Amino acid sequence: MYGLKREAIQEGLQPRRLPVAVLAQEFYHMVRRRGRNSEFSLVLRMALRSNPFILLGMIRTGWKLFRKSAICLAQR
Amino acid sequence: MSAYSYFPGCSLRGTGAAYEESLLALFHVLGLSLTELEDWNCCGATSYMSIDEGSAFLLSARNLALAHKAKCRDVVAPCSACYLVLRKTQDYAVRYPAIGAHVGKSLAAANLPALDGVRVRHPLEVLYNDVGADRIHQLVKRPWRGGPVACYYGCQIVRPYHEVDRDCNPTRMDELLNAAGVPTVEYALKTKCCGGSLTGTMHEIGVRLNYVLLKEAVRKRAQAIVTVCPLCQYNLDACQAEIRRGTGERYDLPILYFTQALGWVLGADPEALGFSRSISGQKSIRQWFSTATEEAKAYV
Repeated sequence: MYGLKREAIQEGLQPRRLPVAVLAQEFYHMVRRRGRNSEFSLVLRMALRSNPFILLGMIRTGWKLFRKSAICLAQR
Repeated sequence: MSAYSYFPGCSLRGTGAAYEESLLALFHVLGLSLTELEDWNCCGATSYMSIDEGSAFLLSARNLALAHKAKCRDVVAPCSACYLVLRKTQDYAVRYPAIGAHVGKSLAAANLPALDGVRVRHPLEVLYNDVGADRIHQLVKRPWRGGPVACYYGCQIVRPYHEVDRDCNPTRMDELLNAAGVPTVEYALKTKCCGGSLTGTMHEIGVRLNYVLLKEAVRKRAQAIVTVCPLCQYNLDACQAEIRRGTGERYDLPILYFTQALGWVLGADPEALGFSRSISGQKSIRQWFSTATEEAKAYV
């Protein structure tokens, strides 16, 4: 399955803004740059590149998580 | 005191913070030592594998090599995705000579040792095999004040590797919780997928998968779901409000980590178990895990 997904992303067969592919690409770049992954940053980048409007639907959950210190803006 | 090397993974430093807190508290109560791997890196999860397979194996291999270098035989990976990726790397390096050679060459170039002799372990399996249900039963300090729970294992710790538990009908979490006096229900969907990252990418599908899991747990009269994976916990916890709005059905179940449930009955400090980080089921959580009753009894 990963082989197929990899090939599809490499060949650009998927729609350009498909969130699944965008998430994989952003994850890859983040880990290459920093060695670790920050969930907040990853979701933000994925949303901005695929469909920024989905952030509106995430505000409520994101705020709850932020209040409970379950997400942080900086990488830990 | 048994010593384990600890690989937290990125999730336990984010949305899975309660998992890390309760795991450390539980291991402390049990007298098990967890030493965090120094300078660990992301395991790569499944996303990295989707872009660059070769480097994905190297990410995991580096972590295992760091454990080997630190002379730790057992690496405990609480996150199901981390567990699977580390375990898979180890397996593929042995099974496929080309991957093994690539990994070995890269580790040697970084002055790191080979992967031999390091075991990847999940805390559920550590508790089951190294501590045991009988010992857990003996160590119980507090009665369980909550209702019956549904044990949810998810996909990744039982498939394709079976060291943690059987793939079709895993029961070890149920056995440990029962030994600790926590009642469990028969939960047929215990290994059905929660959608993983789909809740972020194909949201409606992810929410639908979680709706099915929650509905079945409630149908079985479970009053909470107990899980072993930070992503499963997050999905089941965070989706409930949206499911309530979408279906009109009332869901407000606490979604606990098995380390929180066991930590509570084994007498760990409730403040250290991360209960306040849950989004759903806060009313039940406050009722079940308040020490006010204990303190009142002690005062009388």
